[in-house]
Amino acid sequence: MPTPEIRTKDAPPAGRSAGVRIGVWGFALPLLCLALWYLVTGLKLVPPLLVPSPTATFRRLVGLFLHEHLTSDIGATAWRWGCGYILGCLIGVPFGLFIGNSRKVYAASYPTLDFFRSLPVTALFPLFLLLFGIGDSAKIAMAFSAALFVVILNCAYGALQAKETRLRAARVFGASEWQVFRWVVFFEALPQTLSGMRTSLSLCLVVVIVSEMFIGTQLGLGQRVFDAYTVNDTEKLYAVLVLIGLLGYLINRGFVWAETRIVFWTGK
Amino acid sequence: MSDRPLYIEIEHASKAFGEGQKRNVVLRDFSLDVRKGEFLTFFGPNGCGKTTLLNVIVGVESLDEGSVKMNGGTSRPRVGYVFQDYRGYLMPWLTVAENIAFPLRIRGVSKPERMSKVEAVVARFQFRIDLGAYTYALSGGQAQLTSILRALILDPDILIMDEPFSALDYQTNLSLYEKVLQIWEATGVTILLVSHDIDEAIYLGERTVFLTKRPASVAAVLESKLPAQKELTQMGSEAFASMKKQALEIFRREALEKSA
Repeated sequence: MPTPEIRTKDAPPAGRSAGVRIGVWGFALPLLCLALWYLVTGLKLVPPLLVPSPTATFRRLVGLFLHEHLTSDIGATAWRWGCGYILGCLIGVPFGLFIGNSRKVYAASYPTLDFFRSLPVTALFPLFLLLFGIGDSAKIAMAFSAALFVVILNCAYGALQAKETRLRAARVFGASEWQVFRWVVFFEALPQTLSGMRTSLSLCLVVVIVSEMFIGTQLGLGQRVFDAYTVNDTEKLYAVLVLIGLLGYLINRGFVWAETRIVFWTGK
Repeated sequence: MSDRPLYIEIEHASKAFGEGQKRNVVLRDFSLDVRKGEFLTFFGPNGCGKTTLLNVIVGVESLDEGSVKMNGGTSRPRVGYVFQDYRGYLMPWLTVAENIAFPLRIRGVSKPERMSKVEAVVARFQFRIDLGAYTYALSGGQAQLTSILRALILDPDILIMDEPFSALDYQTNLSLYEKVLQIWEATGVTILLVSHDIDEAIYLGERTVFLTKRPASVAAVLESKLPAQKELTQMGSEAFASMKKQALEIFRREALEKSA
């Protein structure tokens, strides 16, 4: 008899790494790092100009919120991040699914897409500056292009991997190609689509921060990092870095939380 | 049986895939008549072209030579399909009820109407199945039952079952045999069932068609000697034993000796 259980080769479900529940153990290493940070700075093993103490860093972070309008910087960064990301997904998802829906279209467009994906967006600063000037639009456009190709490639791959059997099931019951696409390919691609959207969410933040640092702006977390660096204010530098890290982490966790509920059937 | 009208007439059907060196003849001069409401089983060696034959019958695949006539060529029958790999053919993101209703959804039936039809079909055959469950949570037997109900939801004229029981355990199979026979008796649907299991093929079928190795043609047709009212205990009867002996002879002649 053949094996009764037929499993798909899906990526590990979101929120777990290769089937391992993270749980409380996930807190152990961050706590250890924090302890090490205290130890290194407490024992003055490194000069405070290079690594300020955690206490000083967190006090500075609170100070940035209270006296230096850090919320406005967060707002400005979030605006660029959100605009670029959402635009990238709105265009990338349908486009990617369309490409992956046909093997021929996929084969024809893969090398081009892979080329653009491999091109570091940050290396295109001059081009974006020429095209969009030094305002928000250049930064949004960079975040957009960073998200776009990752989303397209993931969606296309997800659609391409749609189980042949499910497509056939829909076809023998008389589904049109559009119905097959809407009711089978879309859902078959959804886990990979969301995985691409999650990857590009983090990537977009990186690109926005870097673009703020290099193009320059009035408000923005990247500008704050750059300002702190130019005046050797390492406490501020660390405070903003910790904030960016936490921000990225929390948004990612939120995404994973939603993802496991949307594609509840994966890995089952 | 001969009082039932002819329903499917396959005449001298031939089909090949590929060109030149890679040309692969799958069906050669295949002829078979099926009567309306008949329960026909197919038994043959692996990869002999059974799936192609089924695809030709439902019209998914066209023939190179010969013809398939349905219902005297008057109308296209509605076909319900049950596959072996039930997990691969069910949609894991849909509930059991929505999986069963999938063919209705394709036809633009509204959700309330779909759900009432699903409840009606489940009630009609007195199946016990959790309509709100997702298919990944079902046992193999329940998942295959979901596929069978999905195939029945359009009230088909022909029910095609492509090795529906091959991936399930023996106990589940026995209970599904009874359900399939019950469906057949209640609806009068024409059933074409491909099987890998000789007992299953001769127990279920009114006739069992033995296929040759690829390219497939009809090696022999075995008429059932079992009573019309089937019971599982008949698998131990003398009539069953003599049919099985005949079947094994046919199979040895076709599959073993001809390859020697």
